[in-house]
This record gives sequence, C-alpha cells and structure tokens, in this order.
Amino acid sequence: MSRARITILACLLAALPPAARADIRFTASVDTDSIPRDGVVHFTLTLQAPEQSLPNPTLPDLGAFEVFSSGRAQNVSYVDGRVTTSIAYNYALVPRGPGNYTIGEAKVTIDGKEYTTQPIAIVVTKEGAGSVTQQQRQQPPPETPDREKPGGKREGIFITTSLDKDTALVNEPVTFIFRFYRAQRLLSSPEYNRPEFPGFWVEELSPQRRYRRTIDGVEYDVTELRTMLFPTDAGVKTIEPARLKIAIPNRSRGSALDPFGRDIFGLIGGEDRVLQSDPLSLIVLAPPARGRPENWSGLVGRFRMKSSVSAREVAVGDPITVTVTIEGEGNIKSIARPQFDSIPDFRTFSAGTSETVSKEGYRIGGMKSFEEVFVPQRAGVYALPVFSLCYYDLNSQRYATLTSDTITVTVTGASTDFSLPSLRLQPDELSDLAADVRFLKTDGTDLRTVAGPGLFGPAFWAGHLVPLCGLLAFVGWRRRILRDQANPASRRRRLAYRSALQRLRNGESARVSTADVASALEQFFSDRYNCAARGLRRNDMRDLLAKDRVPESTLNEYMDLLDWCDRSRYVPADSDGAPSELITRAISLLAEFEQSR
Amino acid sequence: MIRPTINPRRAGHWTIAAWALASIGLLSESAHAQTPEVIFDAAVSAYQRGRFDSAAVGFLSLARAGIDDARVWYNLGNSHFKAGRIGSALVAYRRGLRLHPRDADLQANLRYVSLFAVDKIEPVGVFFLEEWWRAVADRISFSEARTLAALAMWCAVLLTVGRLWPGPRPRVALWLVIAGWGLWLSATGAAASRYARDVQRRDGVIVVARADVRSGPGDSYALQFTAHDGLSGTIQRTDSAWHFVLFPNGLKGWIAAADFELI
Repeated sequence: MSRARITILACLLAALPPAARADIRFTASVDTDSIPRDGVVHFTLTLQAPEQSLPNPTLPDLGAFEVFSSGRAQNVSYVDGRVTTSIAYNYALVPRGPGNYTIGEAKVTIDGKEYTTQPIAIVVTKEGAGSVTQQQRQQPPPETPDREKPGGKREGIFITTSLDKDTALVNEPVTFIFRFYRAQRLLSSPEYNRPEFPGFWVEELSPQRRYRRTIDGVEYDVTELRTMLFPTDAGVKTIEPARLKIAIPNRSRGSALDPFGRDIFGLIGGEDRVLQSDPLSLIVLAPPARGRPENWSGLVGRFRMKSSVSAREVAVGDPITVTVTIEGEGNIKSIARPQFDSIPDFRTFSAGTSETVSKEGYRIGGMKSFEEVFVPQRAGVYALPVFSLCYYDLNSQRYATLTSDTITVTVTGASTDFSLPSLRLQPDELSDLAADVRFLKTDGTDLRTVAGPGLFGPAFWAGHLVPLCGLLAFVGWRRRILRDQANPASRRRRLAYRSALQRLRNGESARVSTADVASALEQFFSDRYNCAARGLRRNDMRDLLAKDRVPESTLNEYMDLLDWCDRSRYVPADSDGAPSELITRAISLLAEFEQSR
Repeated sequence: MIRPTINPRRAGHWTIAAWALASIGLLSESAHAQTPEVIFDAAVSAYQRGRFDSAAVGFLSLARAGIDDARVWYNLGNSHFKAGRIGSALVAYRRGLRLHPRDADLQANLRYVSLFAVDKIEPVGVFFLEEWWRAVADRISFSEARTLAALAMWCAVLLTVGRLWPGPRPRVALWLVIAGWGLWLSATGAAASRYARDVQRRDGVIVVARADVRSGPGDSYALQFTAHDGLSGTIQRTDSAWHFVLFPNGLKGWIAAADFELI
C-alpha cells in the first residue's frame, strides 16, 4: 500500500470517530423524585448512538432499592443513510425504607470512551398507603348489603364485583360496584376493563374511591369504581366478568432454576397478571301490570314536578311559555314529554327541552325541563292545561302521576279566527305562525279542464318534427349546392339529359332545324362526358360511348342520327324545319342513354 | 260569462259531483244539471260559512269531474288544511303548483302548511348543480316547458338555416346558433324533468295521522319507524297495495298505499 493511501485512510479514521461520538447520548430519568415509602420509582436509562450494536451499560449502586426489570425498548432508524440505534432500559425501583437517596452514575463504554449519566436524587417519605395521599384517602364506606364476589385467589391482591340489589324493575337504577384490593406494590398502573353490560343503559359514576379495609388480619388498599345501570327490559340478566390487568414483582422467578426470569443485568423481571371477577346475575322484573295506567311513560324512580309561566297577562297572538320541570332520582334522560289536553282558542307547540344529570353521592338524578308555547287567539281568561306524567314510584312501590299546578292567564285584544291542530315547530318558525293560509280564490269563471294529450301530442310534432325535417331538407339542398360548386363537371353530367330534353321539347313547339337537333345531341354528349362540343370527332365519340358501356344498338342509332342530321344540312331546306319524327326519335334516344347510366 | 268546454264523456262525473254536493247540502237535488261554476261557488260559500269538510268535498268533486284548474286545487288545499288534514292539503297545493308553478298564493300556503307537518326531517344534500337545476325546472310547468321547447326548436332551426345560408356570415351567427340549441336543450330537459315528476307521479305525501313504515310490503313485516301526516316521499316501486317510499332524509321503507297519496 502506497504512503499516500495510508495517509488518506488514517485521515478518515481520525475524522470519523469524533463525528460519531458527537451523536452518542446516554441519559437517565425517573418518573418522580419523591415517593412514599411503599411507592415505586420508574427509572429509565436511554442510550442512543449511530451504531447498530451497542454495549450494555453498567447500573449504578441501587442498594437502597429493590430493583425489578421492566424490560427494554429498542428503536433503529435510518435517516439520510445514517443508522441511529436507541435503547431504553426500564426498571422499577422499590425503596427499602424512607430517606434521601441518590441514584448514582450509570456508565457505558463505546469505542474506548466512557459515557456517564447525571446522578438523580430521590426522596422516600415515611408516609405509606401506596400512592394514595392523605387528601385522597377516604374512609371506608359503611357496610353495604351488596355481596362481593372476589375474582381469583386472595394472594394479597384481588378484585370483587357486586350489585346493590339482586332484583330490580325495568328502568330502575342498579349500582354495579367494582373493588380492587391490594396488599402489595404494583409495578405499573392497572388497566381496568369493565363488562359490556348488554341490556342496560349505562352511566359511569365518579370519582373512584380509595380507602383501607382489613380482611382476615391483612390490611388492603381498596380502589372502588361504581357504574349505574338501568335495565332496558325484563328477564334474568348476566353481567360478564370484569377484568384488571396488573404488573407485580415476581420474586419466584429469577431463581437458579429459572435463568430466563432475569434480564441482562441479572435483575428480576415483573409479571403481568389479569385478575377476573365472577359473572353476576340480576333478575329484572317488569313493573306490575295491575294498576298500570295506559299513559305510563315507562319511567321508574322518585320524581316531582313543578311548572312556571312566562307571563300571566298577554295580548292576542303573543306567546305564553310554560316550563314544566321534572326532577328527582332515576333515568333522567328517559323522561318523556308530559301530557296535556288541548285547549281551544290556543295554538300550541313544543319549544324545546333541557336536562341536567347529577351523579352526586353516587346516585343518578337531576332535572329535565320541557317548554310548551301557547299562542292565544281570542281574548278572555283561560286556565292553561294541566301537565301530567305517570311513573312507577319506588318509594311507595306503586304507580303515581305527577301533575302541574293550574295556571290562569288573561288574554287581551281582538280575537282571530283559527282552527288548527297542535304542532311541533322550531323556534325560528314562530313568526310564521302569526299568519294564516292565504284566503280562498272566489272567482270560478273559465275553469280549465284536464289537459289534452301528453308528451307526444300534435303540438310536440308541430313544434319539433316539422322544423327538424325542414332543417334536414335545407342541409341536403345546401350540400348539393356546395358539391356542384366544387365539381362543375358533375353538375353538367347530372343536368345533361334535362338540358338536352328541354332544347328538343322547345323544338316541338318552335321551329328548329335539323342542325339544332344535332347541336342538342352533341351538347348532350359534351355535358355528359365533360368535353368541348366543338371539334368532336365521331370516332372519339364512338370510343367514349363504347367505354361507357352504352348498348351497341343505342350507340349506333346515336351515330346514325348525327349522320342523318349532318346530311340534312346539305339538302335544300323546306321551310318547315326539322320533322317532328326526328325530334321524337332524338328524345327517345336520350331516354335510352339516361337509362343506360 | 264564458263557460268552460266540458268533455261529453265526463258528463257522468258531473252527475256524481252534483249528487255528492247535494248529499252534503251544498246544492239542492234539483240542481243536478249545474255547471262547474255553480259547484265552485257553492264550495266557496261552504268554506266561508266554516263548513270546511263540505267545501273540500265540493272542490274535490270538481277535480274528479275533470276540472284541472289551479284555483280548484288551491281552494281544496285550504279546505283540507282548515279541516285539519295537513297531508291532503299539501297534496292539493302541489297539484296546483304543477299547473301554476309561480303562483305566489300556492307557494305561500304550501310553505305555511308545511310548518304544521309533524316530522321535521333534514333532507339529504344533493349536488349543487342538481339543486340549481331543480330550482329552475320548478319555476315552469310541464306544458310551459313543452311549449318553450317547441319555440326554442323553431328558433334554433331558423338560426341554423341563417347560419348556413350562402352569403356573408357574421361571427355572432355561430354563437346565436349555439345559444338557440342550448335553449332548446334546456327547455327539453326542463320538460322531461317536469314530465317525470308530474305525469309519471312518483311523489306523494302521507295523509293519515300515523303511518307505519315497514321492512316489507305487508303488516307482518317489522315496523321500522312511524311517519306522520304531511311527510312527503318518492315512490321507488310498488307491490300490490304497498309502496316502497324514499323519504327526503334518505330513509326508505314500505308504506300502505292507502296512507300515501300521490301528487
């Protein structure tokens, strides 16, 4: 290898590493720098370098923590032809006790150079209760009649599901309670998959509750979630199991007999586990048929009604808005519009609804308002109709009817005539209601009978076919004119017979000589074959006619007739001109020519 | 007074109309030979006295006897509306508009009565050109469009002949020819559009308080939804006494023919 090549290679080798080293990053991070004594710190080491194969970093001293591996994530990217590899090493650090600790420098050596991370300070407080702070911790709820069904074995961590009742009516609120008990640490946030609840109208209740409960001498942290269910139909309903996915330390793995349970540093990994509850059953009954009014709206719960009116004194035509509000506990969204009787002399329509759903105290309640607009048409004092709504009352266990107060209004001004059914309109259409249909047309003279023929009547043909035919005829004529202008010989040939015939027929009435007959015959030939009439020789004529496949007899007769005319020129003329037989013979001959075309 | 020419073949209808009016007290039984004007005036009188059902019978008998006049349909619509029949009123107004599409009274009453339809549905949007074309085509009746098409044809033919006539040809002549044929094409299209809508009669309105829309042509099929008086739709096909109707919001279903009156 020449010296020059060695120099170039040395320069390249000297130049590349600094550029590569400039892209190497090695960092450490934690998700929190302060945790309770039973909390977990998630520690991540990230190494990024422009190489595909990276060495393993060296962990710092983590003696103050139990260390669990949470796995690693690797990402290789190609940008502008350059390879960049990024590896994230994840760990869950469980403190061994309260105090102030420092996670030291992690190290990695690449191409002979050592890279280190910054130290991270961690404060572990004396406070416990997992990640629940004092503000979040709540008192355990009083013992409820629900019967919990634990999911899985009670190994320091389990879930339960329950309903607050075993039997319910259709549309009666039922509370589904999910509880998560744990007496050990989790390495990640649990993932809750609630049942689908087919056959129920579902409302989530919040917030979730956290408290402590002691069972069999073991103190558990309990997380409780509640869901309100409204059965939509009767029958025995089965609620599918709830599931909770968790990650917990697995100290049983990583033994000498289980080499696959440890990561590259020999650290123990976490274990994903799915907890599952048992299915639940709920008997849903239809409200009793006995005593059920026909106008029962299907509503079940505890409700009351109140009403208000926008004005008690109005002029004719001015709208009066009555607001009916139903509030209480139950499925607010399913409250139907209250019924009311129609009232004469008023136009009525629905202006809108609004609802407010409350979940306070883990109970579904709230209010729903309906606005009805009454437009008076006559002056007087009126009692507006009473609104009513039938529902099944859970307090009294029987059907009840809510009714609004009687509202009396005074209408002043002149009355107007109307007779309309009730209707439902948008608010922006209110102004149109003040009007009425335009009045009758009273002039009944000259009434029109049913129209005549339909689409293809005489008018259609007169209007379309006649001009169209005329246009086609004109276009045909125009094309012929243009063709004749472009080709005069063709025109002469086409008109040869007609022109000659005209000359000869004129001869029948006027005095023409045999020379004129000969001239007509020669002109016919000239026109037909587009040649000059003067100077035609008989032999040439005979050749042309033979080439044109004129019958021999016709050809001979034509030539004989021309010869006879020539001879007649030198015979002393009688004053009578050409004999009519000659003209007739010439016309007959031309007709034969024309037929031979 | 100019009396309308009555088709002799419809003479029987006049008798039936007169009997119908006599039965509800609009005409005396001796007035069987009354003219359409008399029946018209009697129905108007009944309307003015607040006897809207009787007025509706009178105007309807005129229509069934062969009178196809926008005034009859207009008054019939008013009578139906005052009697509380929203759908039937809409049918009558739209039949009147078929004859006089630009009649301001018919348009106003149709718009007003439409407010009382129970089902207020959002129509499916159409391509803007189609919407524009419908608006244009709705401004003229079928007979007007047909006459306009014939005149446009004559105009286009004469302009074309002028353009082809031997002699000097101004450049504007070509544009006049194109405009003439364009006018003919538009008028013919409008006529075809009105023919499809008016003569073939595919549009209709629900004329009962509640009409069940089912998944098949029969009462045994599942109920899809319930439509109400005044909701319009377009028939897509018919099976015995049931129509398969497309509603403006895109919903489709089978509806009993008796509940759906064609326009």
